[in-house]
Amino acid sequence: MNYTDLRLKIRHFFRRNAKLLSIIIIIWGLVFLFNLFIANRNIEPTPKTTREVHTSIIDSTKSTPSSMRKPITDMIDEYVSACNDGNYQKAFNMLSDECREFSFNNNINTFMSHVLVKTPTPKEYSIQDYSNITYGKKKIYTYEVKYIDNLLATGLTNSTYNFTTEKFTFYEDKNGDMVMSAGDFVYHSKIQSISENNYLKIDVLDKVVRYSTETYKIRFTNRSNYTIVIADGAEYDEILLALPKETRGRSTTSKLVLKPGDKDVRTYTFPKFVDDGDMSQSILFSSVRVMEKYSGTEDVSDEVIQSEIDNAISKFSMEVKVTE
Amino acid sequence: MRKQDSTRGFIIGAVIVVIIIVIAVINVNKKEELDYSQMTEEEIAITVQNKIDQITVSNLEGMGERDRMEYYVKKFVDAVENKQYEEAYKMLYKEFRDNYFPTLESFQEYAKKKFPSEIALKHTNFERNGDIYILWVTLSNPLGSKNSGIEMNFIVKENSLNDFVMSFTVI
Repeated sequence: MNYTDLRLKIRHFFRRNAKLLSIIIIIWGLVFLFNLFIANRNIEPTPKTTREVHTSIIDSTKSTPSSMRKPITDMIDEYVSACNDGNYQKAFNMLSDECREFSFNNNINTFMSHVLVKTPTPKEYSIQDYSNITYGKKKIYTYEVKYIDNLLATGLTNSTYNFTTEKFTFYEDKNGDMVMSAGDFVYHSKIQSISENNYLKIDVLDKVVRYSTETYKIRFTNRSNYTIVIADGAEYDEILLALPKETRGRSTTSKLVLKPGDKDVRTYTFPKFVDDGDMSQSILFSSVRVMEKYSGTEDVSDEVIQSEIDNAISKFSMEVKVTE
Repeated sequence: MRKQDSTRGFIIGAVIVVIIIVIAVINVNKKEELDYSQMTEEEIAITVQNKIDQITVSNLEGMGERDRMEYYVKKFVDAVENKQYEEAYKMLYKEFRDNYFPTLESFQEYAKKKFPSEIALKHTNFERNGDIYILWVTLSNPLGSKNSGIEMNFIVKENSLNDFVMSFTVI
């Protein structure tokens, strides 16, 4: 093959594949330009932090929907600003009806006391999505607000590092309006569950769920002609909240003794985190005693107490369902 | 035949256009070589500082937040140790300066009096509260006695990489 043949073959090759070669060159050019564009993009380097305001601390796979983030941050900012400015009525009005009623008894002074405990002086604050739960059809977003002094302005001079916190909850009502609650209040629920026998009737009227507690309002009716002891400390675990795999004792240990025919309404608070994944099942009254004779437990010997329990007309446990 | 010619013409035109664009972009993106011989001393200093800042930002980008905050505190302490008081003063949060050191001279006087001449830093604790970082630090003189350390807090707020303000416990 001489030089002319080679030249003709190359020329022939280019003529035959002109379209294909042209397309390859165009694609190569476009890829080259794209690479150049990517390489020369002026990206401002941003600091990596562990702070993700709208991602739940309890379950990092959950975060607040983008559409709700700004309304939530705006509401918290407006609320804290109102508290810092001493405009308590405005802050109070921003809270849900339920929160005002069950956390602050619809009383602005109770609310002011709460605010002054959390922020005795004007504070800076930071927020963090704490947990996102579903209650019925509502999706409830819980944010923790941390109140701190302006540390940058003082450098902690003549002070120690401390802060106060409270949980705020948010959900959208039927009209799509955002509803806010403060002071760890999450929701209120009418339980209206009853358990009864010939001696005693127990009505669980309602429940107030706060971030770390559940408080039940319960009405007791003694239907007998005897004294009924529900809790006096003589027995263990007299009133318990039953969860699927465990029980919880109440936060306080007040006595509950009903005279014949007595009615009494009590509230019992149990420690329970709203985002622990468990649903409360029932309240157990594990050691109800219908007493022939009852001398109480103060200044009474253990022998007498035990003897009166042994001679009780009836001893039983009662369970009232509280599932929603 | 005419249709085939026009297609070929279009393809050749497209190839030429792409090649011209590639060459033009390469030329535009060619980085200008810096000719230090044509610069004043001040321009050289600015250029060098910009390069150092770029490298610092690049290094900080790969650091975790605790390391970055400790770097910022060290930067402040180094400035004090090297008697670059104005530079250290500029790092302080304005309201903090107004509260405790309204003038550079007052800060300089304080720094000379309270900070050791040689400073060893020991970070003992670290916490974040929102976008504010609180660091617990012991400053000591490595050449001084064993218990010569001063325990203090530094409060740092990072605006962006290598852009921060801070304050410290005035003792």
